[in-house]
Amino acid sequence: MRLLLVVLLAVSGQAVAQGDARKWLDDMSGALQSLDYDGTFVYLHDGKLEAMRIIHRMDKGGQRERLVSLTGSAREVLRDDKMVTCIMPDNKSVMVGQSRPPQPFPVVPRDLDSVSPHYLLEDVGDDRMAGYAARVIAITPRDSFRYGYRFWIARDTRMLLKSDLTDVDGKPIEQMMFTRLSIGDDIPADDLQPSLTGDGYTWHSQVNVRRKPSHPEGKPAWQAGKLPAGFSMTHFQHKRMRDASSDAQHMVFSDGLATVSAYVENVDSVQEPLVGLSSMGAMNAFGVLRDGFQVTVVGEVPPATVEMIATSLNPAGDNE
Amino acid sequence: MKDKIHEQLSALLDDELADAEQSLLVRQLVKESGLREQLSHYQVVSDALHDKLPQQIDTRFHERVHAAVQQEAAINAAPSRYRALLRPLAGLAAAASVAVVAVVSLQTMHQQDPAATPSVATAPTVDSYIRAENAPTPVVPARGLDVYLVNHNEYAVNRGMQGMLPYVRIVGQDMRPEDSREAE
Repeated sequence: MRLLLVVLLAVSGQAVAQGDARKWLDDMSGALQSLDYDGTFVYLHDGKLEAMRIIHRMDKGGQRERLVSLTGSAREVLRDDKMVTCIMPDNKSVMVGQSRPPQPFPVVPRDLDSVSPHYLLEDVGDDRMAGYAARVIAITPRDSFRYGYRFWIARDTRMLLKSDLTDVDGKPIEQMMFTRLSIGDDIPADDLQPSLTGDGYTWHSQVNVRRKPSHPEGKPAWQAGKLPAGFSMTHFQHKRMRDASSDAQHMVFSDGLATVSAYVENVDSVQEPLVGLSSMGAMNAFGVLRDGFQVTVVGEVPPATVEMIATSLNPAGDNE
Repeated sequence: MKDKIHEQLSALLDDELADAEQSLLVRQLVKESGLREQLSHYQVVSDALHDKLPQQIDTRFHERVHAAVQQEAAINAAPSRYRALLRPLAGLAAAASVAVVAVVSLQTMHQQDPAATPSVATAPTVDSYIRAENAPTPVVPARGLDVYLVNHNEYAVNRGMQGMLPYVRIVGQDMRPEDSREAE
């Protein structure tokens, strides 16, 4: 009886600790969306160190954000609650996508039981970062199909100060850290204006067109035969990709924390087919050509995860 | 090879490079726009790490370096004059090996924070710094991947757990062909 009590207390203690960690993550997500801030940070990925500036303002019109590279080819992303505009001088193109309005749902699901088999949430303790008192929250994956995270969160404002994205062994894959951050100061409207006009660039729009689903009941015509433990499909839509003539079936898979997108599109609408693995920091993509379709799976998950999903996606009838 | 060039640059700025090597290095700077861009990149990152970025970034910095070293090479100046030329332009003494600068300066910032107070429960400090030496071997991103990333980010960014990273990845890419960055 005493042993049972000890075990129960230990389990409930761990649940409380995970709940505290979740609260810090929710607060951080809220701060990133609701605070006015202007900061410079460094970003380490793939052995390269970049410097960037982010300017974010929240007002009656909603969120506005400008992210600009201070090194390299001066790429720039402008974002509000409706649109995302990516200006890319390196390939002289501008891509306009949709923003989904900020969601009220928490960063980590309320039902911790659903993520606990796959991640451990921990409140690691206090530290200092970029001159601010910070709390360190760690999310550790329990297998190699997902990444881990470590966040340094300002104790007073709950603003993100530094983040590490790690593999299952805790080895950093991507890191970002503010070297200068001002919070709460007035953000001049000019600072949220792009420095490039995009004149002479090729513009691509992903703004969705309403189109009848090609499959009865709006279900995807393709399905994954194999998914890593904990992942399930959470969303499906037809999605415009580059222009009005390119349409993809877009399936979103999630394990409660990590998100993976799968796109199936006619190979004729793809300029350069993507086959095999490709990476952008911790973002991995895996492409497969199957039955005249380009299957592309992307997500902030390890290569094995995107490969498993991409290679198991088949027309729905083939899996039944 | 790249590491050696960057070491040479550091030595040049520290006045520790042999004359023969100085001439070779300046000739490389004249020839290789990629190397000049690399210097410019290092300068900005170094300034960012030390919170010394100017209000406006000089995006034509590497072009000014080019013009200056070409002029210098044309008059066949004594090697010692290269140092005088490069130092005020670049100020790269602390930036020649930016990965090392990153680790050292972040540790310094962390330890010398005047407002620091004792931690209640100190987080593992070794993992607190950006550590370039831990970076994995890069897989070259495929051209055309931007389309999927911009689209996917609609979902990833709202989860919030990613912090700012979804769009940072897009901004952090440079999809120019490698050869256009390495040489003229």
